[in-house]
Amino acid sequence: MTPTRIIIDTDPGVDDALAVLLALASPEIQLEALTTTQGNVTVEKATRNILSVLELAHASHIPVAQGSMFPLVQPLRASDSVHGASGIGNSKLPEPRSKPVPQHAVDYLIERVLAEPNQISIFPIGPLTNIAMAIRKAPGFAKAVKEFVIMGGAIHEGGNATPLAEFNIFVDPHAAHIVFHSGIPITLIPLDATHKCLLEQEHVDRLLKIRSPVSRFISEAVEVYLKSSLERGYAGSALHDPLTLATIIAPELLTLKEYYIDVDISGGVSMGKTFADFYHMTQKPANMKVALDVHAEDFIELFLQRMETLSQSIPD
Amino acid sequence: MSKRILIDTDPGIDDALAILLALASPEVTMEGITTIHGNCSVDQATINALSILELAEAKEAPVAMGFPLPLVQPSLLAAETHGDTGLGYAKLPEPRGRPEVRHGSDFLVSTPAPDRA
Repeated sequence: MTPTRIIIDTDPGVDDALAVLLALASPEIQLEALTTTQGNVTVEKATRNILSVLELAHASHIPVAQGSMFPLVQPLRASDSVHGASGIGNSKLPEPRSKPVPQHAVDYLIERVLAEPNQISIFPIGPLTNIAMAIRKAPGFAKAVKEFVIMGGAIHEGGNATPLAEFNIFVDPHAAHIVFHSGIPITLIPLDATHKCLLEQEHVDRLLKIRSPVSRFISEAVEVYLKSSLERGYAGSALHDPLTLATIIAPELLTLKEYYIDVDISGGVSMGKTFADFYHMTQKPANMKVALDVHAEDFIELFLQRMETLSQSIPD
Repeated sequence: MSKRILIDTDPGIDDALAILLALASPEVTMEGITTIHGNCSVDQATINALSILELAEAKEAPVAMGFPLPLVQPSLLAAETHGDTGLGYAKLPEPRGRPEVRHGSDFLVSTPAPDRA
């Protein structure tokens, strides 16, 4: 089977880093490039972090393009309390030796997608600023993207950035609005599904039985993330971003439904809230598929197996 | 000393007059035009900017085409004010010049262009 060709747009971010490792550990996926954006951290930190993670996983051949420094309209946010000051918890990765490509992520995305129309799927797992800019800047971009698989939103669930809004969408709701209305096929992976996929301390301990810089990185990266999750009443850290890749490596684990889904940009208490039109009250056709449920235990097991294999391939 | 300016515009009748005023003013050196949707579509705005420059024999000024849509709001053009072409009843010939290959936003960021410096 031909692997699915993807570009990940990311703001690493602990679970972002885990998603990149899962992509690298999955033969069903060909990770073609990474683009960075502000979100969990500033875009400079995001770029540095992703280059470091690629070096850790012996994957520095994969190009990285640095993207947007600010959301379109909203002020910049960063969440040190969840992802640690570096963005990837307490991990101490060395300064990367590799460099990003000398092109803005927006232009890089446009160039790659237009060069091979309908071949590349994009996985935005941070705020959607880069993607919105690419849609606005190159009118042919939207039609040439094969698919978007977005980590973002909270449909039935409450938010994790405000009581109503999920972080990625809340950081740049105007960008989300552009993407949701772009006409590109979208699969949305919201908190409704990701909050069920919890990485617990016992899982981390299992990985640490393999002596590898990869397993140690995962342990150090999730330490802060795990602590903040426990404080919020969860048994473990949600694998938000890695779950997007289930659409390729284990689609049978996701319950996908088609709805018209939109985002509130009116600026009140529900700013950035995503909502589904379950009863066709807007008369608008469905604009995306959304994962409202997942076989969480199976996904966690798959994630751990892939991380074990990756760790074994990069021993101390 | 004349002031070096770029005009970002959606000509548009009064936009066209502003371009002509800039060209007629020794206090101003107009170094380029970037276009945007607004009074008319960005494609029409680009044609209009090129036509106005040719009319005024100022073809050396570069024109770079920008964004076709607003960031968030739906497109809102003003044909009832500026006419179908954006320039009222004026009938300018099709321009012979072409816009820059670069996007208007890149032109603004990188002016003066390396290929024109």
